[in-house]
Amino acid sequence: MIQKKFLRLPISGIIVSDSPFFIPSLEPLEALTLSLQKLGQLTPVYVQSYKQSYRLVTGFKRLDALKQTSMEYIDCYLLSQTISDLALFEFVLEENRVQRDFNVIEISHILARLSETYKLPRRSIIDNYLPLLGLGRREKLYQVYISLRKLPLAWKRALIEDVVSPELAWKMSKAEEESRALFLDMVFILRLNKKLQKEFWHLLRDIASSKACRIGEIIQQTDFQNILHHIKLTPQQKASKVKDHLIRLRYPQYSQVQDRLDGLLKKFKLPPTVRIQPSPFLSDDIFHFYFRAKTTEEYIEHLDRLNHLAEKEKIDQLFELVK
Amino acid sequence: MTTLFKPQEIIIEKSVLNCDLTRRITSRIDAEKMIIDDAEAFIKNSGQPIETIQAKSILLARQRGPFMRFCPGTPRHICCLYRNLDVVEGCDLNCSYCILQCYIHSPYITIYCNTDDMFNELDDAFTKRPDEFFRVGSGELSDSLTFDYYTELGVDLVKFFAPYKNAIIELKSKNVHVDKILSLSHGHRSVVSWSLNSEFIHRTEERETPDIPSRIEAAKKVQKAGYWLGFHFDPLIYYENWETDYKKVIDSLFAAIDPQNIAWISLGALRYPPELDRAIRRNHPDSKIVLGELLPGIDKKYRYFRQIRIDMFRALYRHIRQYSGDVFVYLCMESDEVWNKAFGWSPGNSAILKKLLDQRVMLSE
Repeated sequence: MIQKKFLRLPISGIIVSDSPFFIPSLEPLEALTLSLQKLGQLTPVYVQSYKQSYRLVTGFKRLDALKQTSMEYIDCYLLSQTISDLALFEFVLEENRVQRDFNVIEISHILARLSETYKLPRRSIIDNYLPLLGLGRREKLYQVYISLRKLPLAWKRALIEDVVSPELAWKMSKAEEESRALFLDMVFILRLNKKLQKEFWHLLRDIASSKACRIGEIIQQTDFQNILHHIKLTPQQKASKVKDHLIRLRYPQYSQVQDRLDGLLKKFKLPPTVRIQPSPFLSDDIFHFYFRAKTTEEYIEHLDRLNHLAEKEKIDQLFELVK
Repeated sequence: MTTLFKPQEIIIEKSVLNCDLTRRITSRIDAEKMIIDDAEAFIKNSGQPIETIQAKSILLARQRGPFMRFCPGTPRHICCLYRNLDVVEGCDLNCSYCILQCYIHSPYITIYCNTDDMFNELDDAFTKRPDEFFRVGSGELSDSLTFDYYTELGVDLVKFFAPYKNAIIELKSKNVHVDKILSLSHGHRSVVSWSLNSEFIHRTEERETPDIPSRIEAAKKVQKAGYWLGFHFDPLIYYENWETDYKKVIDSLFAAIDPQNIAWISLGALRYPPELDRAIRRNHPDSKIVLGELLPGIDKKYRYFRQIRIDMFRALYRHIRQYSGDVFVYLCMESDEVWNKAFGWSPGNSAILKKLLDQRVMLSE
């Protein structure tokens, strides 16, 4: 049990600089400030005697919010000086955790703090602290999360809002800043879910590698930008067009044949009840013919239509394409 | 010429301590030795990452299952019905495209030293089924010759197979350690074969292997010793100058080797399961092979777009045919349709391909 003593201290007398307990956060202060103005300080912060003054252990956000009100004093619990910094940091984690889950950026800062300030070995952080932060004991998770604190602000916000996944953000962190920014803009414009983000990222990464250019250069190409900023398309329609565009760049020979095939099928003007489908990725020379009918007349009509195409050697053209 | 693999440590399972192969290996390698009770438990508890096959230690263990197994093949593809001999698992050559990166679940190069059991198993199979022909290879889970400097397994296998009429061993390699097999009485029951690629792919994707001229030079020595030879252009990799580059290798091959001595030549295009894509990107970040037009097939494996494969096979097949009208060329794991389009004929199914390959190396009565 941690021994504590209640104190009311002047706000100006609390030391916060270079604190080994501070966990940077992007959480907004407005709600907390409003609450303090309306109800006053409900929960005391924790401090410790330090260089003839007091240093803050927990309650950095409360202190910041209090500074935005007209209040001059802060309610504190004074902690014993004999407690080690690491034990206090663990106390900070516990104290925060009971109130709400840490967001991904806070987790990133916590891991960095454990590694850089407290010099804990990586294995010990993975085994003892990742579970405490709601993560599995995996090396990869450590690698991913500890890197997130270095991301630009827009990416951090996207992570906190759960728009992008930590893993994708980590992978993207190897790209240059412009490419990352353009990719994130695209995610917002197309409202891409995480699965599509990953798919688009893989395609862009490979296209950039094979063309020896940057991901940003591909996104900035006119064709790409025209799709992104098309005023009549919905985000879903744009996403579908962007995906087609990326597939064309990634698989040019396959796309060429697929495009010719699509053009040919379009000319057949088949009703929605009749479908001609090649094998996935044109992996063989087989076409599948599907149609549905409710009556014998409809059935005969479909057969007649397909036979008519065959007589006009249109079906031959199909097979010729995949020969 | 590559440097010889020098393991940092030899881990020996107690049960193979007295095996001849264990003694041979331990007498030739100067490395720390550790004795363990059970290899499987040891691997499980070692906590070493298995993501990379760049093993630093050798594990001498007992093969618990059968040594000889059918090649797993791929549904709807024509397979040569080869039998793999699982006596060594792992390789030191570190080729970027190597399937072992996701097949082998051990951080060690494992050599199964209970070879008496292996030879008994093979003898049993060959004698009990005299009408069946066994094409066996030790180059699927390792390179057949890369550790021969220490193991001489190649020597043992050549000697063992020599008297059998219904079996042949293929020693498949990228290496050039052939001196020890040159003077053996092989009875034409061994095929020594090389995996070949273009010089460019050797420089970029097979950097730790002997170069292509050295492999052909080794094949020339083996040819002189009267062995059957095999050549495997596998994996063929598509890049800007693939056609000129691969044709150059074929030119060099036929300049050195008499087609009459070639048992078979196989062509196989780069193909791999999704796990290997991840392994290549992780273990070989400079490799460009994953950037090819590789698309998933019905078996989820990635292959080049069909037209690309057909173009490659057709061009190389025609080039080989300019040198020899009857050298046997086959495709590894391709469909009947691709065979027909690339070669103008197809064996139609795996059983016929097996028969054709067997006939190449069967001894006439």
